Amino acid sequence: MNIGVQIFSVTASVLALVLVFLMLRRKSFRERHAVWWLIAGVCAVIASLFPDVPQFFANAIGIADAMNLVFFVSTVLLFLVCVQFSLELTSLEARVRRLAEETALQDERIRLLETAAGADAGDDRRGDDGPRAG
Amino acid sequence: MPAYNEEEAVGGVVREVFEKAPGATVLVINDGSHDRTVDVAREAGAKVLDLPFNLGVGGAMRAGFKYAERNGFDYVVQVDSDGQHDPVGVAAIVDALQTHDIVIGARFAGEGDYEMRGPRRWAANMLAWGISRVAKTRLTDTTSGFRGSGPRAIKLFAAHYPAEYLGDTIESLVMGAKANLSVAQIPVAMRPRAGGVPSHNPAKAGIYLVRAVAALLVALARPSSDQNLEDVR
Repeated sequence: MNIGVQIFSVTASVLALVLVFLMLRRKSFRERHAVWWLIAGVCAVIASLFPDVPQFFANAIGIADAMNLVFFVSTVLLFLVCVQFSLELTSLEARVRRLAEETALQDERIRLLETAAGADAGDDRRGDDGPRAG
Repeated sequence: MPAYNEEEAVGGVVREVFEKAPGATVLVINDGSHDRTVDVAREAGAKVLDLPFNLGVGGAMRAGFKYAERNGFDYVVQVDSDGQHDPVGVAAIVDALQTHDIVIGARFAGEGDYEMRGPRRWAANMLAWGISRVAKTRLTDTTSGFRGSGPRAIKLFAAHYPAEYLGDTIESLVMGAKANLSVAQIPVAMRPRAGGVPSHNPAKAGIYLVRAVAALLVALARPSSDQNLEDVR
């Protein structure tokens, strides 16, 4: 491999790994999301430092060009991450939906209770919002 | 009564239900409207569930079924808030609910003057055929939003009413049939919609056909004891 290309790829993969690590440190995302990106980053660093590693695996499987193996592995990884996101999105949507239903139901219940309380006491039901004057 | 931006029609429809179905409680579920739907419905005497944002008809109906379940209602009849359904049919639907769990007020069953054409008609026929087989009874109008649910259906739907596209019509029936609920249909008259006209764009109708068939197939493929989406891990 050309030395310029190697410097470029090592720099890029190390930067990617550092970015993931910093985000993880700042708790910008949770470990179970970071895990895939950490794996990807480490693999990228190893593959760019030692181009013989992907070549070895490519030969072992019978893939002529090591590049194709690298592309295949990255595609699979991205696919898995996307599937995980879809699952999480679905479950988040379902939770938001349930919360929306619950707020609407409780809203109506509060109205009912307030009306009943207001009718009993005969005073302004919004009077308890803050400290009373006097 | 799910309602989305129906301030013009909802008041009249609520009053008409009180008039033609005396003794009923009217619950309007405001599906994130941007207009005065909530105020108009309350002024007309309805109870209102005010959803904070738009969930679609399926989501609105599930909230409604939860309300019914928690407040001890035995029968729920869904009526469109645009005045398309004549509330005079409510009594007939509740009658039929004495012997069945789910009752559909059907548009093509001899009454009224509702007509569909082209791909929409094909889609309707195909869905009717497919769901009739699952429900083991002859249904002709499976996409009608005028339908009633008995106690067993309310229990199922409060927890699992499908919120996806066309879930409120197609998948809810398949789900009910798979849970061994009995489904029946009775003829009801439909009126032209109070506002807006149904689209006759053939491209849209074609897409509807494809999506409807896909929705039916997905509904059929689902396991009958459907787990909650929140619990997927």
